[in-house]
Amino acid sequence: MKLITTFFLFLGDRFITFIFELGHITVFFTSSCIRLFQYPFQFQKLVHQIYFIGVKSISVVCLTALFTGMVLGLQGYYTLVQFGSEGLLGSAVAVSLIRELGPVLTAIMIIGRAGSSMAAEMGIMRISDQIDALTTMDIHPKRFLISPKIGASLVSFPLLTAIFDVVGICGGYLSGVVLLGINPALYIKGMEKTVVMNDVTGGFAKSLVFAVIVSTICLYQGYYTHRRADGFGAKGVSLSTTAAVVISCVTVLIADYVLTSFLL
Amino acid sequence: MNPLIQFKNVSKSFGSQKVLDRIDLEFEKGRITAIIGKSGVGKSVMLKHMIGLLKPDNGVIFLDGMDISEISGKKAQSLRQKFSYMFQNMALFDSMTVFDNIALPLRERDRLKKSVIKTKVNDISQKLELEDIWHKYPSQISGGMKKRVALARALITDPEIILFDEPTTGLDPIRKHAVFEMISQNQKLFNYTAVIVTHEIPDIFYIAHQIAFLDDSRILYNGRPEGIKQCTNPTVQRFIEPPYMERTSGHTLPGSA
Repeated sequence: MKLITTFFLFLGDRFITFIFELGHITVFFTSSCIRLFQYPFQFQKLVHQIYFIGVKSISVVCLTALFTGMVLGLQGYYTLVQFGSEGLLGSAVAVSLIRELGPVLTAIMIIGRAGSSMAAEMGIMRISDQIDALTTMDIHPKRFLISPKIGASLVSFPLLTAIFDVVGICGGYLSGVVLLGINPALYIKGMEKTVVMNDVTGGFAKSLVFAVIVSTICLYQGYYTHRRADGFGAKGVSLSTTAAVVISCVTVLIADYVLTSFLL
Repeated sequence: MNPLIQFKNVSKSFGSQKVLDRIDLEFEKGRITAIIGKSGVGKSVMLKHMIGLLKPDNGVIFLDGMDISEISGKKAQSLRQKFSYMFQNMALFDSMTVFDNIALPLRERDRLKKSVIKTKVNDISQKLELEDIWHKYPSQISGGMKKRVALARALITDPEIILFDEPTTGLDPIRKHAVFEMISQNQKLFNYTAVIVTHEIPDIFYIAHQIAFLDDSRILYNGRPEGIKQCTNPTVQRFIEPPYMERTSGHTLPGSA
């Protein structure tokens, strides 16, 4: 009986903590977002962050997209050829990339490249009193540090997803048409017939949601490093960075399922 | 005198560790007050309470007669702008150059023109011998230089109240005296209120108007620097009489032959 009580106490405690964190993270995102539109606009900082999150992620996103497209082309070809439907390869590659793989893999690549870095940067600033120093100078830390990063993520994620989709489709073309000899017109025409505007807008909607999830979770983890009960100083920053990557990856996948079920 | 900052029955604990226990202390306007005491007794915690980075578990802190926990919005903002804080670990922005670090409050808070910012940074840099390192990053300069950069950032906004958390630790004796002299001279010139947390004894006695000795969560001495030598508390006496004085007066250090 005692074991069951302890179990439910633990479960309840975890649930309350989860609800508290959820509320806190929502307030964190909302207050940072509001400050993004406060006058005077931080245009220069926003551009700088778009460069860091967006432009600097292009190469890794292109590489991932190219090989994902090529693998899709290969796998798709050998599956479709068994049914004599290799002409559908273009549409299969394009639909899976635009609807699912583009937004999800782009988000995961940005988590690895920029999300972890944002969490670590915030964590180091927190433990070295730099965030408190901003408060003492009457510079709002969320406006100064968080808002431009969230704004830049909202701009960068859809654009990088678009690049991912295009490069991925080229990758599929490379393996399907150039290497395996499918008719190029079939590949392009199949794509044209199957992909509709809703797929594209759905993909972009997903990328916007992922931008909010990734930037908020990564920045939140770093910003509140000092609240961690399981580690202080450098260890705390390392734990926050790990938590930022793991939680945002899992949340992106969960959100993808939820969004897909609504969009289909 | 008119107390600018008042601690009334202030207590603060971190977990089971009590750091401040029913502290009553007044900081007079336009004066230099030094908080001295052993390391880790909560001197910096007192400073962080004054600027609102920490909140007391019990008790009230008054600023200019107003309870700071009840001030919010624009009023809180205008009060915060009266303060400057020099952190113990400097808290410089390591991704910014020395120039940008010093100019940050002028650029982000006061939104001054570039030419005005440059003139102000130039003035303070000359006083603190920082002109040659404007383009360097904090990681490229020595600890003493970092102290001076942090000091420059604290002084550049001409605040009414400056909280110095160990401003001279890590500085050579010449620069240490220069910093104390600058704090004292600028205080006379601009009449700001300064609260300094320091271990620099007896140097601080020459510039401070008031000394508060914190130990074991309580204030053991509060008064003029001249009076601290008459304080009979053994902890205070041990603290203000450094070992080298014992040696020169014929005593031996524990453990020495």
